[in-house]
Amino acid sequence: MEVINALGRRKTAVARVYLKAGTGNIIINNRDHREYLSTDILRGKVNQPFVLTNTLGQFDVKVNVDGGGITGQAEAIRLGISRALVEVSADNKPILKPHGLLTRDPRMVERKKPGQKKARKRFQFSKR
Amino acid sequence: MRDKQQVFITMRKNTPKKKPLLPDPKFGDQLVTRFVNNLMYDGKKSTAYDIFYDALNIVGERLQEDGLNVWKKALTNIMPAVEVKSRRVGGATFQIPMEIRPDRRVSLGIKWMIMYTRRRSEKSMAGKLAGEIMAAYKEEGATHKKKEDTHRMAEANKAFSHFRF
Repeated sequence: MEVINALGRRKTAVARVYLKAGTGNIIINNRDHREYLSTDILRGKVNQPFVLTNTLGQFDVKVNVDGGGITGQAEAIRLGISRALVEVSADNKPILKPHGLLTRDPRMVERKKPGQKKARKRFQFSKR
Repeated sequence: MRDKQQVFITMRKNTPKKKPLLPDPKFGDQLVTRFVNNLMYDGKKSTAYDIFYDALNIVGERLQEDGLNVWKKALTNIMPAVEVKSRRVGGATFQIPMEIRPDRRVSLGIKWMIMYTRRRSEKSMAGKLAGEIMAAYKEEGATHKKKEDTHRMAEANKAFSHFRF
């Protein structure tokens, strides 16, 4: 089986995912995923598509991820892997879809506006 | 019959869909995630998880039982079934007892438990939480008292229950 390439994004993170048949190795930016992702919460997120489709340990994954923080990166990888799995077999689509794993989460940081302190917070008001 | 009396207030927008929570990494339980999300300060989820798991370990050690089950039992012990809501009828305000939706019961239980946990005097948050869980498991402690108080209020205002909206 040849390598399947898919892209996943979340917040400002971009993950390029290369999926091929294998034994379940996940390499992120040339480091093992257990080393790159510091907590079980994040590792669980990355493995979620495999767990749901019962394909844990059937694929090797190589990821180049950049931008964003660790949570955004982990979720970008998750989206990338999910998309790749759908390309492997369309049967995976109805399994992954209800869990929202095929949806690009559109929430982004709202821009700061001039005349305001932050996106929504105003400068302190003083009456006189 | 009681169900039919529920009134649906029309809202301008549709209610958003409930998003399923990601199960927690250790037990794979969504209720744990929900609890931890309430426990969290400043978006520090991993710290919150550490506190929670530490507390369950302490509980497990002291009681020689499965911490998760003790916690679940404790939580059911402190979930209220009825509460009172204020409603104005002809100028006077009445405290009307209302049954609580299952989802809100869980929410209230979690929030109360955490609120009274924070007021305890043990040194660490894990210790406080462990103490409060064990107390609630034995049906004592501040959280359990809060639930009993709520029930007592509802009982005392039972006469107004026909005003239910």
